[in-house]
Amino acid sequence: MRFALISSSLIGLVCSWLGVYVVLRRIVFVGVALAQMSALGVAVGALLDKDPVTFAMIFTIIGVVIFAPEYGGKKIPAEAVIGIGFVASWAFTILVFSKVAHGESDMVNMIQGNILGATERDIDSLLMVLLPVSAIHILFYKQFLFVSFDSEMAGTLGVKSGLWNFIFYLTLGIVVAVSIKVAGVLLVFAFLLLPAVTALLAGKSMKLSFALAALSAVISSVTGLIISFKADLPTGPAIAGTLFVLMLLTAIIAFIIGKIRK
Amino acid sequence: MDKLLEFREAVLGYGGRAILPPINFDILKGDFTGVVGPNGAGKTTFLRAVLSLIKPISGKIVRKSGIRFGYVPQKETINEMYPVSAKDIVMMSRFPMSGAILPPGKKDREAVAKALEMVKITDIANKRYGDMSGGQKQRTLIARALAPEPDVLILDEPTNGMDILAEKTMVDLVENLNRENGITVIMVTHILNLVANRAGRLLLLNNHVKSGTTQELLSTESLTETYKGNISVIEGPDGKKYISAV
Repeated sequence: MRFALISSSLIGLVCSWLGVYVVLRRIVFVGVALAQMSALGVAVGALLDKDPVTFAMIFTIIGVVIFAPEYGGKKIPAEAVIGIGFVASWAFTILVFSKVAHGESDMVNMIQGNILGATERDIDSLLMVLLPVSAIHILFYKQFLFVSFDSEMAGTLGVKSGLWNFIFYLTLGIVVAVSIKVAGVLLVFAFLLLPAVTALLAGKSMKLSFALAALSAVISSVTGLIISFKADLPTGPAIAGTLFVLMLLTAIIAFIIGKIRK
Repeated sequence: MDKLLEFREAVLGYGGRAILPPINFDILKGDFTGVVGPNGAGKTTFLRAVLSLIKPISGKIVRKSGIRFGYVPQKETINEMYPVSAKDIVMMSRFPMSGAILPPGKKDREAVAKALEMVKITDIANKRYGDMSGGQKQRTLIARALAPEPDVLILDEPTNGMDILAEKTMVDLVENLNRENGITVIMVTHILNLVANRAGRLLLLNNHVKSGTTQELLSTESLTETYKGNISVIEGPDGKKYISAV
């Protein structure tokens, strides 16, 4: 339970931070596609009996290279390229798992996660990735914010927009890859999306939004784990459900406040 | 004359395909240059070349060493979902000047305050960008371009979506920045009347390129040739020139 709480909070903190950019940049589907690419990496790792996290990283980085630049053109929009990546990696994940011993249960774990099974080793591997990524995002907050808000303007002032965009996608991909193994596709995607939306509904500034997103992720991790324990429910979906309820409550309160102010 | 920018037989386009004939044009310090043409004429391509976002296919663009541009994009390109105020947005343009890691300092805060003051939006500095009127948004973007203390202010269709009064107020503001603060201005617009009596020099783009002083280009003959249609230039009792299609 302790390891599950630490893992979930760590993943929630970093994913929710990155999620604020993911939602604001309107690249939510990229997050899903990267999560699915990562799942395919885990499946291939399992098939070859190799370290699944390494394969998850490799596949996610391939995803970053495919999804980060604008591959769309006049005939095929960028969204379609991302969609193709998602569908193809989903299909191949199922196909690969079908050839792995206990593949079916592995696949269920991959989707809904098995955060209760998190070990000290999992926390170590999470820390090895999440700490440097957090440091990069805190230290270079200005660059990530400016490039995310207006990449072209940043470029005209000498900021290497292409490089910072790539670093953003790369860190996003790495975080997704290392988190999927512990928390599963569903929970990682929930952490990327729901706390950010909750925070943006309530936040009046960027810094407050990042703080609220992180707070929402940690509160939901604790609450979801308790609910899952008391009601004997699967943990990942319980945390994701709590994230959703928190977002819904925030949306209702924001709506009511908006009406009162009018 | 202090040349800030020189286009020498510069052919502009994308993927090796030219969309404009060779351009020979200078931007001088203190100029107010109007870049005018219909939609699709290559105005934005010209701006992107000025800003070094694209390189000329052939020919060259010579920039004065250390020149700094302040770019005001069309306000429609700004994502309004970001929970950022006018002050936050203006501060972003100071980020490259405050070092890689350090937060913005006193000098940056002063530059932001000055830029907000120059466009007269100090009173709404903390207002969320998404809640602003079109004119306030445009002023915020101009302040953002001014905060790094640029040599040249470049505006891309700054009056898009504005009513006729807001349009005049906006161009008055740009003209004041040019006259009173000595800021060199390049303003792109598809409305020739907007810059006809304010810009000292014009670059007319319409499948071909015509450049010169406003005095030279604003004649019925010249514009009829440029636009391949009957254009009339009438001088009003106030001495201003008014252009209309006949």
